[in-house]
Amino acid sequence: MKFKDILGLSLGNLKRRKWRTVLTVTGVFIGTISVVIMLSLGYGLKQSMTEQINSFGSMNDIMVYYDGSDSSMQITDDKLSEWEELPFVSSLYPELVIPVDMEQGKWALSVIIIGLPEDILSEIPIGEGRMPSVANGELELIMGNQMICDVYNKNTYEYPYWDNNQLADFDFLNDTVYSKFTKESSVKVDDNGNLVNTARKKIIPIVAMVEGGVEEYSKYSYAAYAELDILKNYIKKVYKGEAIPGQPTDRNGNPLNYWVYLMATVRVSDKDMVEDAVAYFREMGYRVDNSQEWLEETESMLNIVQLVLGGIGAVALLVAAIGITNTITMSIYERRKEIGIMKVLGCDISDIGGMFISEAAFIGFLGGVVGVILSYLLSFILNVVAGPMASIALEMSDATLSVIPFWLPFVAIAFATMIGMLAGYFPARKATRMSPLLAIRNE
Amino acid sequence: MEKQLEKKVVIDVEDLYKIYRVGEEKVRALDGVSFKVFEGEFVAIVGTSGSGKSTLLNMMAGLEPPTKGHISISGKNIEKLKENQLVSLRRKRVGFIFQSFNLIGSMNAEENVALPLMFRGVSKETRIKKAREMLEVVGLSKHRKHIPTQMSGGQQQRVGIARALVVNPSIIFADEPTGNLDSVTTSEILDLLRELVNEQGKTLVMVTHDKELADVADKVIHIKDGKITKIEIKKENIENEKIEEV
Ligand SMILES: Nc1ncnc2c1ncn2[C@@H]1O[C@H](COP(=O)(O)OP(=O)(O)O)[C@@H](O)[C@H]1O
Ligand SMILES: [Mg+2]
Repeated sequence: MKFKDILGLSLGNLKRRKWRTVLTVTGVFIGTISVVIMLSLGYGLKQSMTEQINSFGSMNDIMVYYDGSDSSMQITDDKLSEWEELPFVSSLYPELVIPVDMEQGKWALSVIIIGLPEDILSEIPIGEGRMPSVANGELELIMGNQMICDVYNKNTYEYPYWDNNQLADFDFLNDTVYSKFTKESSVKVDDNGNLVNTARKKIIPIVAMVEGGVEEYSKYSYAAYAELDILKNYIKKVYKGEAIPGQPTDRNGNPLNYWVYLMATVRVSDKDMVEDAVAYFREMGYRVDNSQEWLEETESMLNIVQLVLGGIGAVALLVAAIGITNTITMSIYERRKEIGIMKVLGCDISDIGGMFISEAAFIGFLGGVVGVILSYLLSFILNVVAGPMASIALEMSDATLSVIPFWLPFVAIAFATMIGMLAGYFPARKATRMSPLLAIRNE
Repeated sequence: MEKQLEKKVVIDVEDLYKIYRVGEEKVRALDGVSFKVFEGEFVAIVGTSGSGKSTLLNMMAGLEPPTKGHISISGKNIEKLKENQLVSLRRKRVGFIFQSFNLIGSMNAEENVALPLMFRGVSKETRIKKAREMLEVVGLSKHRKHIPTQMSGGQQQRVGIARALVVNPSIIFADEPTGNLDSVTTSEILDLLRELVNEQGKTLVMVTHDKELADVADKVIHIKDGKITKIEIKKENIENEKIEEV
């Protein structure tokens, strides 16, 4: 028998029992929607997480931290030159971290100035303002776009942002900002017994803001940035032989004659070597952070989440499969006489089985197609309606809730069709085993 | 006599038994039956209700396995064949006419007639063309688009006959083909069957409980309680008449 004819007979049959077909297809498309949407939520979560992790830094960068305990492990310029020679290192740079207090009128805030080499500094995306000029050796800062949130009223100790969700009227770029460094010699106890910093106020120009609004977090959001060598010179001058905060001292409490960094970023030349590089520094006893590692961990966790979500959808599809089996069984029962006639007239047994399996497969296929179409609709609605809420809940800027990968609709339709075939298989086998004598007996 | 000797044996039934077990009881539906059907012969199997006629016919058509004995169709033993082999045999050689017509209710006359050709994988144009030819043979050209419920019993049986003929089978089985028809229609259908045997040289085995209807046949096999009581060869249908006592 021709495949076309088998299909024709099955389709005719589905058409004749329209209502029942529609109901069974409904079961399948609900199942398909469940699977697709559940998976798409998983993919959405994955994509949002990946984007977020990427915003923390390049996958090829590994962060090596010095925890201050073992002085032989101090990250110094000498050590950095050594590391630079390692085969997997393409470049590396230290981060010099200097705390400073800033003031303007009644407003104050504590800032961490991070010193970076010029080429790394230039990677910072700038919003308003201009890049600090390095040529004249003047210290200039790029201010993190979320630093405004840390501004407090130095009289009342109120934080406009955190307490009242308002922004302080503090314009880093245009107001005159006074900076005070904390020195041992400058910290005094006042009449009321409070510690006060009597250091001279300095004006360090802030020439740029990091790109992004107050709500847009990136790894540059919460610090001020300056060129490393200029910062070093400046700080040396400010402290003039006094201990620098964050820098270790010798046994007598005097500053060292070299810089110690708490962190260095090592850029690995090849993505595949990141794992080895991480292992190398860990072996030496450093704490190491890497986005890729984090991403992998997050991914494996999200895979489980997705599996669970997909499983929930699969249960719905299983119920639909039972519906298909039921429908085909009914269809066979109704047509048992017809099946008998066909056998007497010489219809191949496998063709009879094929007729019912293709009937079931078509129900699955139709349910799959309708399910996929409705899934796209639902996914769209979810992203528009629930997306913004999810962004807030997950503390992400712009989280996409539901993402349907391009291959998912095809796989979903194929899967639904296959489920249909499987659900139709057992009743179809029963049909092929029915005695043709049913057709002959006269009732 | 000479003419018969020339003819090929199409169906050879040898010492056939069919025993049904109903609870504790054994029903001997067929109790040692032997006979031969020759090519181009119109054979009627006659007996009262429950005598075992249908059982015999069904076994010859391979719809039911015998308990014991042999059946060969065109020289091929069928009692050991698997179901798909039997289906294939029917598809190639056998036409079947039912008492209750057994047309597919959702299909029109033409589609019903074309159905066995569909099972053979014949293309749609060819099978519809052949179906129309067959409907013309049985005199139903005008009704080819009618579905079964729009036709009388006689018309439905004509469709049934056309369906049996469409694959050009060498053997046609008919189980009480006029059982559901009035007397006028019955004689029309019988004339049609007789014509097919005479003009197309088909071998036809027909079951009936009505002795008079059997008069149309060349050979009449009388059956009672699963046993053949008498085989008559009719003179008016073929030249020589002979009554075999069994
Ligand atoms: N499937 C069956 N199970 C049990 N007994 C059966 C079955 N089919 C037929 N019989 C019995 O076998 C006998 C012959 O039946 P059947 O061949 O249908 O008779 P006929 O066609 O001559 O009326 C009857 O006694 C009937 O009850
Ligand atoms: Mg009968």
